[in-house]
Amino acid sequence: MTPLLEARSLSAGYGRRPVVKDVSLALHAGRTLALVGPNAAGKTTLLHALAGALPAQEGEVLLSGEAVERLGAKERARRLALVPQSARHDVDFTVRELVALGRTPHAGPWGMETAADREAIERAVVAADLSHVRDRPFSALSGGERQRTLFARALAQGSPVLLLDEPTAHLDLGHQLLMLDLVAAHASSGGAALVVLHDLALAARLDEVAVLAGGSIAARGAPGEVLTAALLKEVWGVEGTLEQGGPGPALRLAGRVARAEGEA
Amino acid sequence: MTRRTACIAALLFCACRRDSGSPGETRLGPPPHGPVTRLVTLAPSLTELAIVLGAGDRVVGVTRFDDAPAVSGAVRVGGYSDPSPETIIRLAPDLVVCQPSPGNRGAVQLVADAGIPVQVLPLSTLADVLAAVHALGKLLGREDAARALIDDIAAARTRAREAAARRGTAVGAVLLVGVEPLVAAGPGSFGAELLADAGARNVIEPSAAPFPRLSPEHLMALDPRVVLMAPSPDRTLAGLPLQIRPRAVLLRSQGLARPGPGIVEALRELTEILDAVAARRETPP
Amino acid sequence: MTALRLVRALGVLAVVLAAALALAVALGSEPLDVAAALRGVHPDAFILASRAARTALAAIVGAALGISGAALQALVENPLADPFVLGLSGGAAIGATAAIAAGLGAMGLFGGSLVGLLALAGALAAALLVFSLGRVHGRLVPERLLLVGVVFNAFASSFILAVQSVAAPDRLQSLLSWMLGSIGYPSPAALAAGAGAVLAAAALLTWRAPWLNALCLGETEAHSLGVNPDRARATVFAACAVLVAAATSLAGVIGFAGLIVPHLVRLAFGSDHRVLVPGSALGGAAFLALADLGARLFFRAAHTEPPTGMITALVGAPLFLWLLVSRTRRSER
Repeated sequence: MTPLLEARSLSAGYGRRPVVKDVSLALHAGRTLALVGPNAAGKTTLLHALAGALPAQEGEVLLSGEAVERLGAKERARRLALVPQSARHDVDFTVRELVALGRTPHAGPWGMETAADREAIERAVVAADLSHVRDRPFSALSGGERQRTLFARALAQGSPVLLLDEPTAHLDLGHQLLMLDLVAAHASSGGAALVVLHDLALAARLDEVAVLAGGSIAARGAPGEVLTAALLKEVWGVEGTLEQGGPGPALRLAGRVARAEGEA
Repeated sequence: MTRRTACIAALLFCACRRDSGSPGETRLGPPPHGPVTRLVTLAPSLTELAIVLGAGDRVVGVTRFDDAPAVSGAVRVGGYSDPSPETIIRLAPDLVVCQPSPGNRGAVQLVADAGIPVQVLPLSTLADVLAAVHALGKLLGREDAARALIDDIAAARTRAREAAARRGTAVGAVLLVGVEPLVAAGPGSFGAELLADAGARNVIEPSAAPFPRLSPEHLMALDPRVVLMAPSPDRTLAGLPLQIRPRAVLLRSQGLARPGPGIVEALRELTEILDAVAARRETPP
Repeated sequence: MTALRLVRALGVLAVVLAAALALAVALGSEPLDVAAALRGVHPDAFILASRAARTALAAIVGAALGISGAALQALVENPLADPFVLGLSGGAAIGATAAIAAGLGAMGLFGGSLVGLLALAGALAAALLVFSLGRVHGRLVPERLLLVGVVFNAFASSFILAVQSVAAPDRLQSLLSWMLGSIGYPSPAALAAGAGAVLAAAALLTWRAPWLNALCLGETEAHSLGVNPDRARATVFAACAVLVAAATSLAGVIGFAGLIVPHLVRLAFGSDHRVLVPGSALGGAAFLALADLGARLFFRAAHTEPPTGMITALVGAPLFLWLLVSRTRRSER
């Protein structure tokens, strides 16, 4: 089956030196993939390159088997939505207006809302638990509400592929899990999601985990198989283990590994 | 865009000077039909001309800057660059006279389009003044008065030149039309013409602009024997360097600032001052 | 944004505009018998016609300023932007200054004044310059655009001051009058050309209003929504350059209108650019027509007509401050 999103030997960066080197990965329908890695590994860069916001220096990105460059911008937006880490705080739109903007790739010549648009917007607002703040301006929301609004917009966009950059960053525990549930629900209805996460315990709740270190994929697979003690030591420089079982995955950390001189 | 330039303009505008650059008198709109009994003037210099030609009682509209008692009853129609066409049209004048200016062009054109005769009379140079007197005299049916005024002006100029010849020396002078900043009457300006007639040596360089701005140092370097200050609402010596102040003379007559019939009086005053300066021995400081 | 909401909002603004235009034509520095004017009585008919032309000019310039203000606030992602922030007023001012100082002010060409035409040329030249300097790696960057525009305006200021220092007094007066912006009595040719340019650019911006919504969210977000941020910015910039060039060539630099009107429309109808953009055109037209009426009514008391730019500043500044305060209060709630 054709993967919804595929990268083949993708290299991308700003300027001449690539930040992301020779990355290949595929994301199939119904799957969620967590992208983890230390700071400055290139996770955001990879996300932007997969979304086509950053041109590929080498290799290519395919959406449902078609190269991203060859798709028009609107068609690309109908297949893939990127939710960045944060949004500008002085945006003056209300929550509903912002979520409605997610329908832009589907807009007709005059940009007026259709019944289908209204339905998609409603569903997204309800799913992201934003009904009680739908008419509040974005600048007046809490951090968590803002995050959920951005996600709702991506949901309203109706694209099967979702790329999310740290969507749980400002959320309380309950809403962190709500976000992951939303991601899972999206996948089970036929979509796919690639989620950049810092929290390894959260990452372990997704179907698969890919580890990005130094611009390349160090490992990929089921969370239990990938996030071994050896990998934690090598990539993050910490002594610890990931424990599955019980109510959910948990990370147990002993401490930092003593490094040789000159390393962080 | 800065707004403080408005202050510069306000001060400079005290001099009410017009620079040449217009192609000469022009007429806009239809020619006057019949005698002119209702006249609108769009500059105090033109009002003055009309009054001297004996037509002051025919003036029904003036600018808000007009302060001549003869036209105290006339309607105020605006300023130099903002005359109100509607007000002028409502007055139903037989003739409108104005000076050419980019500011009033639109309004004046509109008045002409409404079917009102407009005569454009520049007053930047002496030649302009004489031409304007002649033209206005003809339009108002006061050719005799006009000729008399032209003769008066010519006589005044002759007197001034004769006095200059008797004086012998050409006194170095500068005519300041603005004080903060210092603005002088340079070559080609109306004031410079009068200075020449009166036999003064205009210390401003021949290559300068018609209204050059001077720094106090520059003024000192030019070393005029007399500094003539054109009349203005706020007469002050504050902008002048201390050493120059004893040489300053505040002029009484409007004629140097307002081209028109005041030339006669202005030349007389100039001659007086220059004679006095030439006669005075240079006292050591 | 449903079609119904849009039509309702624009309908309200159209009514406001119609009322403003009616007032601006009926009132002025002199009383006018409108009934007599419509019957063709002279000079009332003439006064009515010239007032109508003048009010039409105010409406066109106001629409241009309003809509370009709204668009530029989205382009540079700054609600404090006004149409002149990108160096466009500096360019126009340089053109006009050169024309007035050289004594070309009294000459006309194709029914429009040379001053206006040179101001137009200056604004367009400035737009090209700012556009090319405002790009990094071939893409328009808002912060860079703003910086270049501000610096260019400062340069233009000093150039104009230098020219003013050697200008003859009456030309100086005209120059200042132009810089403060004033609505005069336009020739039909100038009016038609202005209306055509403004209408075309306004239509383009209204059609592309969804792009402006997307740009407001940020570059990555816009891209994610299928909008090419670079193309969107270039289009908006070009349309605004045309609008501002037309406005300044017709009426000089009228401040505050382009800043205030989008905020007023936002207060009433929200930030969605599909309403904000055409709404700012209608609102701007009404605003400037009324400001011009204010200038003309002022004449009755003071026998002088202040430049329209002065009225917009006098009204606009307190209005803007009030808006700022009420916005802060709203977000605190």
